[in-house]
Amino acid sequence: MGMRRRIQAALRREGLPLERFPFSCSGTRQSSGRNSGEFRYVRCYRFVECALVGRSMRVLASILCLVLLFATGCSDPAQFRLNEVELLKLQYQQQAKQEALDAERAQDVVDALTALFGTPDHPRFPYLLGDSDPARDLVQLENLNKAAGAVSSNRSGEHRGLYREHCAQCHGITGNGSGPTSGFLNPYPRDFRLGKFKYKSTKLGQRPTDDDLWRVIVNGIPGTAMPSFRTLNESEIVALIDYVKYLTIRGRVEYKLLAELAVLAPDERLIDLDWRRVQTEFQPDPEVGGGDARRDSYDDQLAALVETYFDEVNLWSRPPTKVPEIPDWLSQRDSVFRDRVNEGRVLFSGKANCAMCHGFTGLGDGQTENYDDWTNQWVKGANLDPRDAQACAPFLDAGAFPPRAIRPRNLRLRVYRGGDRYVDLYRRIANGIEGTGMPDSTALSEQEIWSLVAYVLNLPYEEAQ
Amino acid sequence: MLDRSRCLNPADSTLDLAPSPSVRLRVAAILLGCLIGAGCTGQPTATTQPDPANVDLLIKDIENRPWE
Repeated sequence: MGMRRRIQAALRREGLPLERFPFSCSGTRQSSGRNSGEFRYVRCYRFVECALVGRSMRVLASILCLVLLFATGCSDPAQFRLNEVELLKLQYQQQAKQEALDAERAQDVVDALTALFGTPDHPRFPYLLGDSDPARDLVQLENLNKAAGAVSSNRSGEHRGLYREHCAQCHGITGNGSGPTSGFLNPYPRDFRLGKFKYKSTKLGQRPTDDDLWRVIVNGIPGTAMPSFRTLNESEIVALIDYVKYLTIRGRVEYKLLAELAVLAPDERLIDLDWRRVQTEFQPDPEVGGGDARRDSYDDQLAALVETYFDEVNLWSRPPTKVPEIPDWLSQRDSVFRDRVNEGRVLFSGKANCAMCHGFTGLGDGQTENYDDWTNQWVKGANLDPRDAQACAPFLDAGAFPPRAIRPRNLRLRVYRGGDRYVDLYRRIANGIEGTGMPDSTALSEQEIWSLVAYVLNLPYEEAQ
Repeated sequence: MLDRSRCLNPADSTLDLAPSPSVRLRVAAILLGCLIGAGCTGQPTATTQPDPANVDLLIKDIENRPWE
């Protein structure tokens, strides 16, 4: 027995007499001192022996270990999950042809996505334009390999599988926000596939900058379950940023391919891989499998697929919006500040119309009927009433979250999810919040926005009127 | 039930220190529970698996063509 040998070896190393420690539960009486090293060894050994001494127990433990070994060794490798909610939504829509969305055509989408982006264990990010491909600056394959795959570390302490270690439990392997804990969280974890990020420095409709993603990962999002990952080192955070971008681009391409699938004619394929495989098997006879017409069609399909990928890649790397210099009066809290607060109060319930959602007192009790874009994507797309549980049930089965109306922020709590710096508040008002009902404010001047910032900052401490 | 305090005392070795059947059953149940638990928290699997042959063909075709 290995344990016995190890204990015997340990006793030998310590120079302790073996004959004084019978390796049986029915052994002879010991005479070692209670506080001696001998006692500790015997106690250790006896504890283990008492647990495993029974013959049947040993057999049972062996069987269990064997089963455990098989169970852990035989699991399927992780796979990205097909966006079944979107597929179902397309089926609900009038223009979608049921036959265009069958399993065979869905297989085309999965194959195309895997060819472009690989799997969760072996991610790919094609650099198709040579050394000058802008995708190289956007996402580095080295970072993807560091963030992807199973959690592990090498002898030098370098971690791999960072995404599954820190993110996947909420955001899911696919980045669809459906990790094991997601159903218990409010708000739900971000589904990256829609390409929308709430707290960023860019305009509505644009992707966030690396700095925006860095800030969210390092600081977390106050008032939500998103924690701070400040303890990760710089290279690990950069790897996670690249992986989030990768999941986002992959998810967006998936949306587009599914949309293309929905408008195909019954005899069309997204990618004519049947023809391609026939070509591979019967080369060099060009007439086999349909000839030049199908070849041209396949070339067009391939070009369209790559173009979809390029389109998504090119949406990134947008510059942040400029924020004017922070006025001195904002930090001095003098009479100018009070004037600006009063101006902000008027704007809040007037021109800026903040009160419609945030309420006239800033308690966030203006409206409670809006849903975010992640819910509207399938609720409005399938023309459903989000309060109708029965109608929504098929979507929930497909992986959608139960619809939950978003609540405008209670500004009196002084919990600002996008950050509490002056520049953060300015950008929230100026740029809006992507995916929510919070609009940008193109009609407001810089001074008016700063006045609103002053009013919002003053709200928790506002004197009774 | 196993008297652990006596079991851990090396000076008292005349006792039958083997775990009782109920203790063995509990240990087995805990191990089985861990096993099932570990199996149930695996990664979500895709509803549609990629076809490796198709994927290989597509990768070749995508990477072997000049793109502008």
